[in-house]
Amino acid sequence: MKPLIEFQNVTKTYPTGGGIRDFTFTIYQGEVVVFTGPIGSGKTTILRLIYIVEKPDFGDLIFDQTSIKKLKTKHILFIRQQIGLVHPSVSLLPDRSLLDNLMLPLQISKVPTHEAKKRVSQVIEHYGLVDRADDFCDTFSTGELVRALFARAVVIEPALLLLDEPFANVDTQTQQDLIEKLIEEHSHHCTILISTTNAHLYFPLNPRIVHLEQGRLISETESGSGSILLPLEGN
Amino acid sequence: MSLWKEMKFSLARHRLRFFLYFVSLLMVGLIFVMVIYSLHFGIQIRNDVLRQFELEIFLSPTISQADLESIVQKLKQKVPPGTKFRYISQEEALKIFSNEFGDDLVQLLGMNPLPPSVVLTLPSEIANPTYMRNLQQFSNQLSGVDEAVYEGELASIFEVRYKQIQKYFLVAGVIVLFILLSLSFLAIRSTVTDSSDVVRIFSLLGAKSSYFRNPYLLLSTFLGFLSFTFAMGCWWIIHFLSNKIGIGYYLPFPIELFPLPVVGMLLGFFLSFFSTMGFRKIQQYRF
Repeated sequence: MKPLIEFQNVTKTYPTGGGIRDFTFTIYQGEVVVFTGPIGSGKTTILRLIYIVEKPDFGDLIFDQTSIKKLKTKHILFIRQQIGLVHPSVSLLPDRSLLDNLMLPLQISKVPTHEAKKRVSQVIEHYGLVDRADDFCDTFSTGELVRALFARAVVIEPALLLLDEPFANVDTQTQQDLIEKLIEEHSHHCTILISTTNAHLYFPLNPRIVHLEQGRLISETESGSGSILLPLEGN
Repeated sequence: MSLWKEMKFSLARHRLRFFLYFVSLLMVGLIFVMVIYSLHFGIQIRNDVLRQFELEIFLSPTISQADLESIVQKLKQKVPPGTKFRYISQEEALKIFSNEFGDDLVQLLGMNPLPPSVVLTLPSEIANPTYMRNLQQFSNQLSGVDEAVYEGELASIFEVRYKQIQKYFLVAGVIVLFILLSLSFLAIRSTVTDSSDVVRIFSLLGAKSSYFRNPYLLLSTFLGFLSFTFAMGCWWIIHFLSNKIGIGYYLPFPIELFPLPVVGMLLGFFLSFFSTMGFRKIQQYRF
């Protein structure tokens, strides 16, 4: 498999604690990786670095053979336009309808309007939100909101999906539905990276599970190896 | 397409603040209108007084017919063709005074104090204030002439007074203008600051800063245009109504007002440009 993102001895820390230290890791195209570990172990920092809302203090991050240090603003924005993000703090805009919220990333990517409308209506239908298409998002239930966030992430047909604790406070039925949707996305060669404290929820995706503690990689499983965590040599 | 949509969303989200912005810019527009009006009106009055081009030459009450003819002859050689001469005798002057003020000076004073005079009306195509002042000087030197009066002097006095009043208005205007511009800036700036959550989402979805700046720039530029056009329209209505009641002369609609909407557009553009400057750093947003 072709490497998509490479962490080369990356260190990113915060004055308040957390972050990652001397992290070396490679993400390959088309795989599913679940980053797990306790709070403050550095899971979200990895996603932040991949989404380039942070830059490493030390080390290098390689995107498709290009160092993060060489990326200019326009490249960063272009990369973001290719990544679907599901994060509770990157919410939908409350004063717009679901339709307008889903149109937003496509308008930013300058997808032609007729094509954008077509994609949005397909995604809305696929995620079971047809009845809510014209409703403002501040009226949505938690389950609907998470579905809508997934819909916004996949509407751009991303090459990479970043999910940060996507199923917090979501009922089991919605979780199962969305896992199925993720399996579908994965079948379209989409690379999926998930940050969570409940890695077992994602076993149906046959992920590579990476366990982190205090910003260091403790163990990882191979793709499809289920719940067995393989300790790294030397750990 | 998305630009119009974003404009619509911004307007819907900050309806009250954009209204405040519009109103404060409208006030700024009205101040501009008043400044242009006062400048125009001052010049208009001054020109109207000067345009009379009349020289009133007061003669000695004991002047003989021969001297009078000599004065007229000398003046005729000096003034351009087409100049009208009108001789006003002491009796005629008394009659004019009595008609205008209703008083009989002879009864009051026991004599007629009004001197005879010659009024020269010069063609406006040739005469100008400098020419009139020269002619006034020349007339004063003629024997038998008591005093030559050119009313253009009144215009100069009026102009000086008017400029003094303008100075006070200018200072007050600048203060009010500063307050109103600050208000406009704060109104637009507060809409931008209050949209930081939206800007953050845009930025995290990969939008360029222009994606959220352009709708603001366009909207506030348009509102600037609209408010100044409205201010101009208000003045036109005042002018129109004043014409109806016969005081249109005092409330003219100067042609210099027409570029005002462009000034409003520029003002709106720069106000929003400076108020959205902080959002250039799109990478400051995190999750």
